[in-house]
Amino acid sequence: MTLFLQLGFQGVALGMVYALIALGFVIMTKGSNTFNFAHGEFVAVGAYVVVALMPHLPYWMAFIGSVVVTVTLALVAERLLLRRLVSASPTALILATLALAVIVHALVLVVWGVGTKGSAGPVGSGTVEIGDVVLTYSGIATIGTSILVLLALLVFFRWTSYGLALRATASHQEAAAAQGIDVGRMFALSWGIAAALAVVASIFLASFPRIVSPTIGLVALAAIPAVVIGGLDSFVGAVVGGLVVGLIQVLGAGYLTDYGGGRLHEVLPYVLMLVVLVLRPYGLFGSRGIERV
Amino acid sequence: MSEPALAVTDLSVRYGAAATALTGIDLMVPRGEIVTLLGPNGAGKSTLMRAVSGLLHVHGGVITSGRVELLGSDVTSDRPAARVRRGLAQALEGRQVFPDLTVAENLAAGGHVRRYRKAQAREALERALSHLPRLHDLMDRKAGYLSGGEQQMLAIGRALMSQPTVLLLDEPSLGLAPKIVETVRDIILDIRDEGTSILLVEQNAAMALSIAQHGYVLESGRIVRSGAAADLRDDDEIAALYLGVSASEGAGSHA
Repeated sequence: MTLFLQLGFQGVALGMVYALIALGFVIMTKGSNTFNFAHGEFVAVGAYVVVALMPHLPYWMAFIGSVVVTVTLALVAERLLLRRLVSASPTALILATLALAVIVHALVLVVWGVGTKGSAGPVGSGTVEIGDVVLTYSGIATIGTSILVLLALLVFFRWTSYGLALRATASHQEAAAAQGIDVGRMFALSWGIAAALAVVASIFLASFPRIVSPTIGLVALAAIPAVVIGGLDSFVGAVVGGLVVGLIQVLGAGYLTDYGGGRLHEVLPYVLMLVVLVLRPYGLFGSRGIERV
Repeated sequence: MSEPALAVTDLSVRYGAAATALTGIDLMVPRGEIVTLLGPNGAGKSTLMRAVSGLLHVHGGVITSGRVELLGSDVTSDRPAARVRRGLAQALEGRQVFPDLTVAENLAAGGHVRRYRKAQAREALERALSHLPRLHDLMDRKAGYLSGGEQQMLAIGRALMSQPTVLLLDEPSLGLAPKIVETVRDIILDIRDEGTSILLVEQNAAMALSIAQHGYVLESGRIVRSGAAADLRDDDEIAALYLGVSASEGAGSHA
């Protein structure tokens, strides 16, 4: 039981990180009608910029600096790429974001090299013990911060004028434009919010363990099963999907070490994703209109 | 004499490289009046509405010549948001409500462009609902679950939330039961009586000509007839083509 609770805590913490990344995917998909495969690389940029600024600035300022850089990168990409392809086919858009992912990944390698870099993480490396279960500060910070971010997003989308405008654009672009909502600005807003979420996720992803490597972008793509499982157009689905993927990975790593060379847990989210795609293509919480990417 | 609420001058539109959708359109909506635009399917009615509201680009269309003026100001190159801020609002063909949003949220989205303070938003909402009392009891319902008639009322209410001077209504009676069409007709008159100018595109020519002061007939992208609505109503050819009355019947009835 102790092992289960211990793994459950770690799984929820990792799941919250996936939930933040998955929410970024969903917000961009709903807000700009584009599934951005470069989102994982935005997570990588977020992590590397924090690491690059940490020696010169307090951690919180390094974080703010990373948000500024990553959001700017996302806005430039949205403006130069997406806005020009607004009438293009979904396939062309997907290929464009894949190309963007390769370019951003190459940029990360050019600027920061192929080796790993140490990361301090937003909190110290202490622990709290509850019975036999050990809760790390970073795990507690991940869950607490993610909940605060989710609440902030809830307030934004439900009770602010821009949140409503973004939801209206996601619901029906032409009708939103007919009401005088600047659809282009909503595209940019959705990419900006997603990029900011990517930075928040990146600082916690770099805490499991405390290193940043070029593969962090690929790790972030583990949020894709979370998006598909939850439903491509569902905010709630992104959170639930993130938690499901985080729990499966950590519980799988804990209980299935003797199978599949100890790497079975890495495959499980993708197996579940395929099962969901076959049985319920719109995900657990998605609407039937959206089925496959 | 004050300038018209809406004036379209020598407007031509094409989609893609070759397909000309509108040619040399001249149309005017005087202040505080209803003007109707009639024509068969594919005549270019919705294209003209999009050219006026600035939504042509969404469908790959471009204005190749001509001008759209709103209250005397040239808005031909303005974005849709700028036109709404200047006082233009549109209820799109097929209602096109935001199905995932509640009725209250749909209406609030209609006022987004005005950046209302709370009191102003409440005032705009009350004003819109005064024309559409049916929506009062549906405020918390998701728009996708409304009936066709309720969605049409919501589409009109959403457009009214920006407090427009000129309202474009694209096929508001489409797919509605006759009794609901009557209700929509009364709502349009009610809005007109408050001073809003209306350009009404309709397949239901009988309804449109019964409430409009002027009418235009569009065929194959060109205006082929225009005049006082009463004259168009009495025209045998119009009666035969759009009112479902044969020429002989029409002649007989006006003899």
